Amino acid sequence: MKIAPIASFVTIALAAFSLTSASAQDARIIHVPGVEAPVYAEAEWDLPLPKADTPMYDRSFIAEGGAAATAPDGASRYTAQEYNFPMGALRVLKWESGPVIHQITFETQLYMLKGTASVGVAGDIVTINAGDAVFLPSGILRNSDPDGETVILTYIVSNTSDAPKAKVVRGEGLNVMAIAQWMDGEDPTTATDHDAILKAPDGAAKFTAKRYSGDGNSFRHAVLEAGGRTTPATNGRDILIYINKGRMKRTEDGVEYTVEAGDAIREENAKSGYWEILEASEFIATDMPFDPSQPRYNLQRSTNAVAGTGYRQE
Amino acid sequence: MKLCAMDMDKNDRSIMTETEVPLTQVSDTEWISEKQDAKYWGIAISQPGEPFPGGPTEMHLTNGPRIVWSMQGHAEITQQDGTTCRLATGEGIYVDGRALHHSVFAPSRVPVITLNVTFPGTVDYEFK
Repeated sequence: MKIAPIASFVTIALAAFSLTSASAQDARIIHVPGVEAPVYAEAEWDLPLPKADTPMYDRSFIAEGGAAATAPDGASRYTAQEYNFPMGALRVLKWESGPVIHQITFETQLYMLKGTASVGVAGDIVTINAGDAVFLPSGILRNSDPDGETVILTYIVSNTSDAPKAKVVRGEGLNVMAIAQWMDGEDPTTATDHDAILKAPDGAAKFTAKRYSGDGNSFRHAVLEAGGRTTPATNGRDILIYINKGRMKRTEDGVEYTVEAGDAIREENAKSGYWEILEASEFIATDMPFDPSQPRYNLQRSTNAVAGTGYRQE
Repeated sequence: MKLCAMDMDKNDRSIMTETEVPLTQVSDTEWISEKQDAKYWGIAISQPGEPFPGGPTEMHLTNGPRIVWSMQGHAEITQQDGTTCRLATGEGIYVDGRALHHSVFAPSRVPVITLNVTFPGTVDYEFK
């Protein structure tokens, strides 16, 4: 029997598959050090122009792992570092040079750490810059001629909205909140006005925070001064934090985790914890809510994610 | 008759839904649809449990509306919002030409044979 080569349900992606490290897949995982998060070589490139009678939509080929080396000249080449948590996943995409091409697939949110690119937002193509965030992106991330390094945090996380809308949130112009926190004896104290922050005692944590609000989820970008300790807090959901600068110590449920730039950590739902700022630091945080009553955008990476069986809907 | 179907949401991302194929009763025991348009058809075979090239985040397009029927084995198709449809032998799915999707044959114990009928046009086909 002759098999029709194109009328096929089979892949049109040209790629090799790779197995995801099991070490970071433990359901109890809290801290994923950057040195342990697997890094994959990736390449993506545009499809050749279609024949007149085979219209094609905007998409790219992707090759991963060893197959990336076989990508054609001019392909977009980057690395993807993967951080998997029980309630969500983060991939840090890094281009040192060359064109930026990345097909949005399962990603539900992204945060532009460095560089500039265009991406789809509810059918429109928008340009995003460092410090911008997109909720429910679509289409293909592109920059044909980037000026230096491009780094994009891409997330697969849920949200709490029953009808979430795609949205771009610009970092520029967002309100920057200054905060100081300290323990006044047994009492946790937080100050947000200028004078009170200036009067905060030694040992207070001092930081600024920007909030990027999407439908049912958000990003928080925090810049923290060295020294000091935050007040204890308990979250109503898991929070995924990527440290992009500095070194901090998290104490949660009596367990200490020292994290540094390139690490990701989960603040676990319903667990009390606090931070000690060991060096001047920065992090990007987003929620990993899990609500079984929301059937959509509840994609969760399986704890035994491997090619071909990697996702399940919860 | 309702069929599992791919579609796009307002965010321009693929979702799983249902579509209706109208049927007319022609006897006490039979219902049939109108004659439908078709562009071409083909058959594909995939080995069971075959990891899809591109890994778990791979997604692809068909670039045309089509209907895919599993004639043997099981397949599982996932959309960008995480919604999933599983095809057992004899079950079909309507594919929107724009809908990025990820397909796996891991649930199957036997090679997955699908019949693919592609409709005219590039995006959507309205069943008569």
